[in-house]
Amino acid sequence: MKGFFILKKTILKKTVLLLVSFLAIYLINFILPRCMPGDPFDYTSAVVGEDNLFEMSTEQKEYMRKYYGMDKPIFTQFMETVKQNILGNLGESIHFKKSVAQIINERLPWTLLIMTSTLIISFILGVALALFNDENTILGKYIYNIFSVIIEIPPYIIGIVLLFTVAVRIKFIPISGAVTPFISYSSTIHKIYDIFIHSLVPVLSMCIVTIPKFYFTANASFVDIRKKLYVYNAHLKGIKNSRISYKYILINGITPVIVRLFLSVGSLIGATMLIENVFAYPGLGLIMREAVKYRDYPLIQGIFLISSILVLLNLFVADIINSVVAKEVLK
Amino acid sequence: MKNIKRFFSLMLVMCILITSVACGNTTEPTKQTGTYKVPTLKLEGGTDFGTPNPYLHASRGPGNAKMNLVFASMLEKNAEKDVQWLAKEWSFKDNEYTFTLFENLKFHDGKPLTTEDVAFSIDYYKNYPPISNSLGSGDKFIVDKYEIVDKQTIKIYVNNVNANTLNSLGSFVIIPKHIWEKVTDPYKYKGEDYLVGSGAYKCTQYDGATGSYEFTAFDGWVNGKQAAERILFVPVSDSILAFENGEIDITKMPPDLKDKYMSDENIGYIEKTNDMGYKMLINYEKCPGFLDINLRKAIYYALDRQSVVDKVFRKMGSVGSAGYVPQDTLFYNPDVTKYEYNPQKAKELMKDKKYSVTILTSDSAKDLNIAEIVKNNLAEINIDVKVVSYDSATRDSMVNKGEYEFAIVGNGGWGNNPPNYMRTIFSDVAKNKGGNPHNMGAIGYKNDEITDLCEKQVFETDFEKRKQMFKNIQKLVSDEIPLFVIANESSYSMYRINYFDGWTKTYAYSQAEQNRLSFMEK
Repeated sequence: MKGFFILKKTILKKTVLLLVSFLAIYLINFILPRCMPGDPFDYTSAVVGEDNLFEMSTEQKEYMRKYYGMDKPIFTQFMETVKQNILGNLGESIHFKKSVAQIINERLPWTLLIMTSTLIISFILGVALALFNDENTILGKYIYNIFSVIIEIPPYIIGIVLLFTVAVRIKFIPISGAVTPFISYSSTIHKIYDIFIHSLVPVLSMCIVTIPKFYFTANASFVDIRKKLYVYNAHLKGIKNSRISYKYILINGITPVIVRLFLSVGSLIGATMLIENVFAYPGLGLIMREAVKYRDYPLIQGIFLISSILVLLNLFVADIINSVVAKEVLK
Repeated sequence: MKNIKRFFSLMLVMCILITSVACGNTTEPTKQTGTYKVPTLKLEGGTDFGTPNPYLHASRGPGNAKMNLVFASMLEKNAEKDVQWLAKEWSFKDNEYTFTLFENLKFHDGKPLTTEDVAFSIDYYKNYPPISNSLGSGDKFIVDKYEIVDKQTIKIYVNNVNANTLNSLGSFVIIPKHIWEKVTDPYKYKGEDYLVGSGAYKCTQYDGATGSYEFTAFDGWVNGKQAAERILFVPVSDSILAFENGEIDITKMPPDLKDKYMSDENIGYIEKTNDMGYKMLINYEKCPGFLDINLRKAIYYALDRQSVVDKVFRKMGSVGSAGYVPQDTLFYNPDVTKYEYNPQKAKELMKDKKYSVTILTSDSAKDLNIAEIVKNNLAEINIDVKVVSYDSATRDSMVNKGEYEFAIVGNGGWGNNPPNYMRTIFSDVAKNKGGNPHNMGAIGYKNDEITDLCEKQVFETDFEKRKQMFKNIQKLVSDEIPLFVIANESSYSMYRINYFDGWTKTYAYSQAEQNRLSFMEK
């Protein structure tokens, strides 16, 4: 009863913390893009081929600023943004001339696809390797050492290496995009295959780095469990190794790995955005770069808002799981 | 074990579900008639340059170019001069400009395109300025009135005539009156007819997320024949790999592979001569000592600009003309004062003076490499340099606000029409008025003679006289050195010569991939 009361109090505390964090991020999210030097209507990042023959005149810039409400005081702009957001409207992108919600809606599924695929695959393989790999064998030591090196490499470097060494050499693996452009699919299976084959190398690039992360977390947890008396007892009783691994080690040691799964979302969002740039994968990463480059305030806010919500919710879930575990311990 | 299987099965189902949710746009295949020079032309896409209509495209060259495929203006430019596009004839006298359209012009929905639509476009642009706005806005709207003579002929009267008036009137795109007269917010309008244009190609597919565009030749186009039935912009991760794999038909040639591709007889190339340029600005309000012309000459002599071309541009470019307009362009004056690398002469001109300055630059690798070369060169004449770098948008903003001592600015478009930029860089009444690098001039420096010439050339409609005026401006600029031209970088676009070799530039814009005449039969 005491444990339940503490848990309820902890969840309440975490929820308040979540809301306060969200409000702080929301405010920073509004102010920060506007503090950056530059303006959405100025010509920025002057590169060959992107120059415009007719730049906006001062009058036209004033007209556009007025159109997007940027001529109003900053507090009025903030209040209008809050009102819009409460009604579910994320505003209009200045550079892309589309609603921010539409842009995010077009791209978020692609980001989620490679991100969740990476998480799921890495989780399963990382846990399985930790469960069945014996560190005392030569193979086990190799895996441990190789993973120790790989874990420090940024996924986009692996992406570039795979792009030039694997994707280019194997004809059926596409080197860019998320689907074959202008294709007409003959069946749903064909469509799924096309999406799968395009996501293969980007997901593989991220998995190579993410699997070791899950492996090390799971391994640390399982090593602890393996030392418990009840595991030793189970061996003495002659229970099958596979049953011990699953019923005793996996079930009792999986909690830190699940927490790790939720905590990984933040870092994986960053990794996904870089990988998308390597493979011209049409997720939020590509568009975020453009949004910052062209000082597209509403779009920057929209993308960071969605990313922040994703990260905060995952941290919240990880916190709750930890609290539940703490409650079990109190029992 | 059974539970593990269940767990794995659940994960698999989740993977498939997520995969199914994240779906791309699918399309119906386009018919192949085989009557065009090539069935498709594939170019590098992957970046969303907006919806190709006058109000929704991104305000950058590639966005503007895509819109121009779908919406036509009255005139076009080829490599030498203005040419017919929707208008078959044009003439002007005083402030009266007369345009006669081709017969039987149509919009993509089959409705006729007449001078009513031209007049409507003028009125509509006055109320709602488009992204690429050649007509001006507010009090600076250039059209005074118009007179529709008949369905094909319109007379347009402008407020003030200058050398760019014909270009401005010939450049605005014509939108269909029957669609846009009902639209009160064109910046948000996405009705089903919002892509009904007047151009040689129809936009038949656009997916912003993947940056994919499909343009299909319009049957009702009357001014010549399209070269390709379809133009496709497809996403690519690495453009050279995509070119080698046959995924795209034209791409930029990397400097390090120049020799390999140029010796390949199957590869054709088009040069964008000296199109990218780097200049160094001085804020004389913060560094008044450099108002001494001898110090500025000393800086020019101290700069080893050839090493910028050799080391940074991998020999693809040239040392910048001190007159600003790059070599091999229409308005270039070869007789400007030249400043060869001569550190000894620079030291003599410095007369043992010592300075310490900060150079502002962007964080791009090329900008930083150039800044390092400049830093080392200036150190030899006792100018101690500290380099600070920011992202290019921040750098541009700081330059526009005058928050710098020395600044290095690199931008494209130097190979475009010099009349578009010489005035806004060197005239004391026109410079530093916009956010564009083509507006970035010297702060705290005035020169009445240069300003007078820059302002007068605007109203000179005789081409040869105007060209001479620009030559005089360049000579003055090279003598007075308001700013330093470091170097110009050239680039090449390469294509498979056996497949399609119709790529061409205009006299005012050197991006063949963005020129709609490249997609027409010659």
